[in-house]
Amino acid sequence: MAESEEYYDYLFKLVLIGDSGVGKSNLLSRFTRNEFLYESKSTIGVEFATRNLKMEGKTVKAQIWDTAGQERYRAITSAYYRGAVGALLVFDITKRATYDNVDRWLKELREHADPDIAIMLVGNKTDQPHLRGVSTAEAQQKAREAKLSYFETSALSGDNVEASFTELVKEIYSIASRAQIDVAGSSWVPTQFRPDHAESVPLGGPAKPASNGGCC
Amino acid sequence: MPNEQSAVNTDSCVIENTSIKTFGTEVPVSGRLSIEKLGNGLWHFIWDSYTVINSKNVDKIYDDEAEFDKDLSFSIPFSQIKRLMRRMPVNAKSFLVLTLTNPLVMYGRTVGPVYFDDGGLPELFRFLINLNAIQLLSPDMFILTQTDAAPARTPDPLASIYKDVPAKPANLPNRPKKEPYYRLVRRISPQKFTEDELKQMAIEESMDGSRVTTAFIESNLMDSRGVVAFEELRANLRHRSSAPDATAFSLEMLLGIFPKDSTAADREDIRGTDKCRYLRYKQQVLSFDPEQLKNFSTLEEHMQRVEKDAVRADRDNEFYADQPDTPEILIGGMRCHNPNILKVYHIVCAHLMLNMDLGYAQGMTDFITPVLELTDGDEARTFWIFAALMRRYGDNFGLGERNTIQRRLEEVWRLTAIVHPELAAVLRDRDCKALYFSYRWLLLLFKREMADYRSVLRLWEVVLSCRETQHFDIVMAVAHINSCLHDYVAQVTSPDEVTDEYLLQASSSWPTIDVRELAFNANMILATIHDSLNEDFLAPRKRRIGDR
Repeated sequence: MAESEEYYDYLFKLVLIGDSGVGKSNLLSRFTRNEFLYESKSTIGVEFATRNLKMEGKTVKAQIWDTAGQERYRAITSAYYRGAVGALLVFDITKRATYDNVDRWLKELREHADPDIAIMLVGNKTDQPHLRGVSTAEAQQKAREAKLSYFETSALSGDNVEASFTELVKEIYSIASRAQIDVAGSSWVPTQFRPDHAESVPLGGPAKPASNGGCC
Repeated sequence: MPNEQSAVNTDSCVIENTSIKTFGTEVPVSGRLSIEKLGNGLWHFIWDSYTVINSKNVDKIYDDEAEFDKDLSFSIPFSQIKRLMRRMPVNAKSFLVLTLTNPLVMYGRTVGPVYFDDGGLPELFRFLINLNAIQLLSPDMFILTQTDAAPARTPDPLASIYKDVPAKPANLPNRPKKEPYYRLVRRISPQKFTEDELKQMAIEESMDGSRVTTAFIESNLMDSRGVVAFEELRANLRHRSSAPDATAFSLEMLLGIFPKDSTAADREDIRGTDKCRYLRYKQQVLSFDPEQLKNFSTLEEHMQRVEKDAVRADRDNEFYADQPDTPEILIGGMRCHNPNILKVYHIVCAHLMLNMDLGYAQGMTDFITPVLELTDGDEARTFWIFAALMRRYGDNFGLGERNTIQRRLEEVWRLTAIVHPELAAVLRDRDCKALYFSYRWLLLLFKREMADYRSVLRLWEVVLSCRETQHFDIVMAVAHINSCLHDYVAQVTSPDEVTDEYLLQASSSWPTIDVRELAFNANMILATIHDSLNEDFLAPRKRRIGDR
């Protein structure tokens, strides 16, 4: 575990955005630690967690940032879009208002994030179908129009959580492996995330883990 | 005037024109205090008296007149100093107390504690800290740990026993060990208590007579009309925790809910009026019908945010956890199974009627939950403590120009650069000046960093009872950085591990704060940066003509 955490070929910074209370923090804890906290509190400031994924034999470290949903905190959180290559825009399928705000969040992404950021729309809380206020078809329609992929998840049951994150990472991976051929200096792998044993960022080809690797 | 930029003289520290009082004489003796290395290479406290003591200021005990013409000058090596205390009494000048291992005998009398007036005490402490010779015992008590400034390393007593044992067990491959990249030397070493010590302190603190109880306040700090000796109460709370039965009242006094000179009857009146006001605000906010709210979208939005946060406020605490026997309570569009959650909701919503400009922002419920539990569910009382906390800290949640959190973070940064210049230099070099991890500390007054409500309330009490600064929370943040962030940066093996992201990640694994330890270390820092404090940093910034 420790070993796989330390060595990676790519590092992708992803951000979770969406209204407060839609379940961003629990999606993150479900994906990175397979945990769901019934007692989770509102997120203050910024938190993050990481998880490594395998893509075509390469290790991708997903570094996922979780931000406070409330508008008032966006000023301070906007710095966190820096270097982000993917975003999960989450709404709560049982709360219509959180879906209505999706456009506001897209606007914010356009303003603060890299124009090439990969965005996935996520309708969370499918474990409460009896309270559903947004239909799947409707959300799919919106996603199509905005050229986003769409997933419905339940952080509580774990349904589709793995699939949605993996899909987003896969999407970024395929863009990144294309981009590394022609875009020098792109933000796909922010230099500050470079592992200290890597010679270079994988713009001209993924860096190789140190050959004498293995820490303990 | 000393200023923070000036290089500190490392050879000696001299305070001219100070005075001491000792062995019962009421006349302060003026003189010159210095810390110097004497011929034998040991650091000494040296006192050169300007005046000569004579029979007028010393009781006559010797027949020999000549004895009295001696002046009071002395020099004491550090090794003979048992402890140093810096006392900062209420409404009086602070002073230093020297207690010696072997009492100094002069004129056949034991010289007790030596009292120095507060002439240049901050410089003196800064000097001692630079010598790395000081260690804190309690917020105002210090001991000198080194008799010599040179890093006198005592030889390892076990060295000879182990000298034939290979440094590494032979069966492990001899891998190159990564060295820490930065060599950071702290000017102020934080005191770290062991678990046992902390336990012991907690036990001592919970003993009767050690805490500020209601009975203590009533019998010692109140006159016959119930007027509280406010400064004394404050001084007490600074150093001793209030007992649970006195915490709410202490907060009310410290926050100015009751005027300092209020009598018991005044306070009863205020409590009555405040209760009515609270009920009115609550009534107002709950009286909006759905159509009104629909057309008052600002209020509706705020109330919906409160709903979301109320139902998830501290559900891990028994007081707010779902109660299986409680029927479902509807709060707007949310559900809960605990009437205390409904109270939290009512308090925040009523506050919207007191300060709609501030509105509701995520995290505000964190200021309510410990207090509501403390008052055993007293809504009105909790409301006014919350309102007073918001008057003081609400602008941290404020919108746009009104938001003060950024300036507070800048102040943390400025003070960190004074307290730990080496660490600050690394952070500056690595462009890590945002200190994102301390954002939550300041926004919620460390509420989320503490293990339980008791500690949270104690920390708030310490912050509110600080006399020297209105912003002791910032000093605490600096202390925490000096302790935890130093530890992290001092062990990284590459500068690449010092980024805002890595620091934030590291901060998530820092241990829960112990309030005694943090207060202790913050007090030590406060004593040294005393004259670098800037109380006005929150004042609106003046624009000069020509500024862009």
